[in-house]
Amino acid sequence: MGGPLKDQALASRAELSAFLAGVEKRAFKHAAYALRNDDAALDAVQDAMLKLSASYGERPAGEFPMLFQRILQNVIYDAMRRRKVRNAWVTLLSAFSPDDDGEDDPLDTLLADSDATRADTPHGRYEQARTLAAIEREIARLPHRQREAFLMRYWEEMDIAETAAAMGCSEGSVKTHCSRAAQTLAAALKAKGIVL
Amino acid sequence: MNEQEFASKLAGHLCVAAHTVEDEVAQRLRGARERALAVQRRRGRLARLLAGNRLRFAFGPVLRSAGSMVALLALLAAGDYWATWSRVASLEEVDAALLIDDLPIDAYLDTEFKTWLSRESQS
Repeated sequence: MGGPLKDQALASRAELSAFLAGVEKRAFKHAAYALRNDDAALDAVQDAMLKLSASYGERPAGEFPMLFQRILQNVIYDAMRRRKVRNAWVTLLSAFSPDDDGEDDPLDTLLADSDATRADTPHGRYEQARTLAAIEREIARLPHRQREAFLMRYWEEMDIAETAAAMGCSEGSVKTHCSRAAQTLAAALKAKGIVL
Repeated sequence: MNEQEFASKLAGHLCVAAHTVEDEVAQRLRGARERALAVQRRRGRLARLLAGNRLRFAFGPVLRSAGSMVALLALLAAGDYWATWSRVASLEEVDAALLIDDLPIDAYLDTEFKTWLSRESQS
């Protein structure tokens, strides 16, 4: 009696599990490029996963990529908005406190980046790490919508229609964002002497 | 190199970057995935409970008695409607016959009718 329903649920769970396992690391990177903070990126991915499974877990597996990307983008936007509000308060309050702690020194980020790519591995690995770090840095510098379109279109391998649906914009806008992102990235990497 | 080729090569590098995430990050992602699947499992169980046999077992007797009540009320309403309709129809026949002076002879033989007629004509 409950056999077909149970089988369908099991298939759906297996499909969702496989989808999440396949997308989770890319989603983390995607969120990290936008939020520039690993903890915030992990929270965003977890939030997106929970929302997908709670609200759309029983949908056909073919719809998961578009739904998940849409949810993830919304979660990232929410995180950015929250951070903007928090930063506004911090700025306001820090104006009344002595400015001698220097917690958010931009050089820390640069040092962390250079630590991640230190040359304690063979030359090839070093070069690869350097290239990856440069690519990730340039991707993180892209305007949010361009990065979003570029990553969905070429990394998630979604077609133009799916990308447009996930971003809530026209297909023409997706093409424009992708083209500009590719041009910007190509120019930036060329300037650094990186050849793909 | 066109946009598509460039983007494909770049995506290849990004895939390498994604697969070299730290172990701690990978573990936290796995934990997040398991929590998400647990949520789906709970919701799936609830959906099956609502759609499956347990619903029928839980609400079957209530639905059956409600159906019987509805059928009984419908029968009573239909009976009442039919009785009212037949009474009105017979009164219509008598009224029409009185108006056109075409009463059957049985009417004049009915003593009650005679009494009623004389009382009505006096008043």
